[in-house]
Formats: sequence, C-alpha cells, structure tokens
Amino acid sequence: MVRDPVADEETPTLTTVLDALDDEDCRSIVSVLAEPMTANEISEASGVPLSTTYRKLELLTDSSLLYEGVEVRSDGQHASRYAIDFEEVVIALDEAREFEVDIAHRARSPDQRLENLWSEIRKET
Amino acid sequence: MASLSTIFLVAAKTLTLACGVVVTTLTHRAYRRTGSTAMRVLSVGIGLVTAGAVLAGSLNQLAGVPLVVSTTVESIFTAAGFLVMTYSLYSDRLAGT
Repeated sequence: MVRDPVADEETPTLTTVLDALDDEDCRSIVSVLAEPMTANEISEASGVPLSTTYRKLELLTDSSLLYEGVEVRSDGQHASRYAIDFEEVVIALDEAREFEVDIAHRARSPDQRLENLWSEIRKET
Repeated sequence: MASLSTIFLVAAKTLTLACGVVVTTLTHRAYRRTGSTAMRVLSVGIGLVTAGAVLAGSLNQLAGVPLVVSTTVESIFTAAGFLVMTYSLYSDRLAGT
C-alpha cells in the first residue's frame, strides 16, 4: 500500500506513535535514513534483521513518521523506498487534559515543493 | 524601425537562451545530485520553454518562417514546458526532497 504523498493523511493514534518512538529498532531505522532507502538497504545499514525491519517499517509508516513510495524501474521491478516524513513530534495536552499527538510533516504541498526544488537548484550555483 | 525592433528581438532571445541554458543546466545538475524525479521533470520543463523561445526566433530569422507560425511554435513549447513543470510539483515526490 503506497501513500499518496500529496494527500492529507489522518493523524495517527497516540499509542501508535509512542510505540514507534519507544522502539530501539525504529529509532535505528530513522537514524540511517539520510535518503530514501529500500527495506533491504535499511536492514543492512541499521543492522536490524530484515523480517524485523519490515514490521518496524509498518509501524513507522502507520505512525506517519515515514512515507513509503514505489520506484518504478525500467526493468519492471518495483521497489518500495522509505523516507523520513516528519520534522517534529509534539505531544500536547488538550482541553480535556488528554494527550494528543501532532506530527509536523516535511514539505508536501505544491508550493512547499516548489520552494524545496528551487532551494535545491540554488545549491548548484 | 523594423530593424530596430529586430535588434531588440534578437537581444531578448539571446538573453533568454543564455539564462535558459544556465537555469536548465543548474536544475539538471541538482537532479543528478539529488536523484529527485520531480527535479528531473522540472529541468525538462525549463528546457522546453528555453528551446521553444530560441527555436521560434531562429525559425523566423534564419528560416524565414512567418511570424505567426514561429510564434505559435513558441507558444506550444511554452505551454508544454509549463505543463511539465506543473506536473513535477504534483507528481510523486519520492527519491528526492
């Protein structure tokens, strides 16, 4: 299942996010994701066994901390790549004194993308 | 008077070509560095607009094609270029950012 990167996503539940953040393997996975990687590459770089990596990746995408996208290759093989999709996670208290989670996502709207693209191009000058 | 406006036209086209090539090259280099599909699509779009401006000018000045025809050719390239640029903003953003 691939997320539409432009579409708005539902906010994940507090428990899902806390589970992901409390998990050492999940944190290892996030720390190696300097660029979009496949599950195999993530497993290799983080030292987390591949079967565990798949489970943790699901938890991380459910928490919307990572996004999953498919790279279409010329040889017809499609590989999912995972990338970091958040800047910060805010746990706050709402009016009823219940915990609520808010995840600040990386730029995803077209105008933000235009800004990102242009800043990447400016780096070439 | 016609020759004066021709000079301006050629100057404008030359400036468009020079700047267009610079921006297209930088965008393409950024794509090579980031591997971002959106960036590659953007460089194609900017390239199309640049190519259209220059192609139309050359068609009119060098090949003697009527102004209406060369302007139409330019407009088609510009439309295609902006279409591609818009697409790059809405297409999937993976393998980049």
